[in-house]
Amino acid sequence: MVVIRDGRVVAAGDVRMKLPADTQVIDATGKWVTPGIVAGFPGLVWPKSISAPTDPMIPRLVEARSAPRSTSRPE
Amino acid sequence: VNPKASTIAVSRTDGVTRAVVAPVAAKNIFAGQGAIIDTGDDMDPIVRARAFQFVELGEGGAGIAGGSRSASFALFRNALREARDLRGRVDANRQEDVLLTRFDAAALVPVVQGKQLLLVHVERAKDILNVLELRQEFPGLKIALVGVTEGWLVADKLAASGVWVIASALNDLPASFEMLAATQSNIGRMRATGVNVAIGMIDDNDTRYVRNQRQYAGNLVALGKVPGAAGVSWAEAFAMISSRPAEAVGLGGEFGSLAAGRRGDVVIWSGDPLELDSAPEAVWIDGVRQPLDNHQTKLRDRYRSLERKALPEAYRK
Repeated sequence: MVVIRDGRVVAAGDVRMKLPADTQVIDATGKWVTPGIVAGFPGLVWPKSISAPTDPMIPRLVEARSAPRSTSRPE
Repeated sequence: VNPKASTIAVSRTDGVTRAVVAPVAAKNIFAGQGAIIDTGDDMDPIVRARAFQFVELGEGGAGIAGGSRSASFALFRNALREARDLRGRVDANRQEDVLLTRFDAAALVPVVQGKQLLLVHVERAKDILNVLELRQEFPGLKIALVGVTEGWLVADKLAASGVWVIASALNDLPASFEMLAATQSNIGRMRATGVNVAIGMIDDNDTRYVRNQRQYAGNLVALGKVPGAAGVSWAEAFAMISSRPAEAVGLGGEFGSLAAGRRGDVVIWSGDPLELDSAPEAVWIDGVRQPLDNHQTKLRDRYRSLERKALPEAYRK
């Protein structure tokens, strides 16, 4: 038995508790009752425009190397 | 996240109530932050936004970083160092060795401090070890690994590290050179060694068929009966698609199991959920009964039994 109140599980398994008279009861005799399945890691494809802020790092690395303070080193 | 996407409704119809979703790396080994969503029929899918940072290492990351693994690992280590040195301060005095924009560096600060989970995609055994070794320099890191096709080769190290692994269930072919040791016994062997494993849909094709997870879990049970192969028990297999993925992202106390205090995500199945001829008869998310129809079921019902006169001309005879 699974008891749910306000969207949360209150008790599960061999439950011995008094339920309010207006409790909605669903009979699942002969069925299997499980927690919902949790999907591990479906890739979420974002449109290019959204992924745009993640600029390529290599060009940035090159940029950083050629920044003024780097080029001021004696050649 | 589009809550009306057909993949969400289709998954819900097959008993999937929560999902770990991650951005796909485009031009940067840092793909961005991932979220935890529910599949409820409402406009409010986000359970936990910014649940983790996702990083592409291995072959995918190497390609993005310019074709070399050393480059992607060096980039990654440097980025973590910058974030560590930044420690949340406004970067008025940033060091010369600046690889990240201040926004990128700031985003990594909670990762270095262990306040945000770091999900890393790696496949090859050596890459797995390299990621585990990062924790020596950055002891605060909370890491979970994704992919991990060659995990069984370094299962003892993975088990000792205690990190969570989200792996494809039946990846038995080397789709790339970093998966040469691919075997469908990967999960069974890792589990037997004591690795914390959850089943995930890593391959991009798989992700559109999230509901196949329970088929994969069932196959892992069957594998245990194949001579020479390593599978897992029914209880293990079901945990790998319910409580374990929740624990892997640090939300095991919220959902993934039926215990006092968890969210009211319940599925009533016609039979054993790891058998393909079973189907959900009722689904609740946060205690709310969910509709089990979607675009696909509506099309099926619409065209299943058409009156002869409603058929196109050629089919009326």
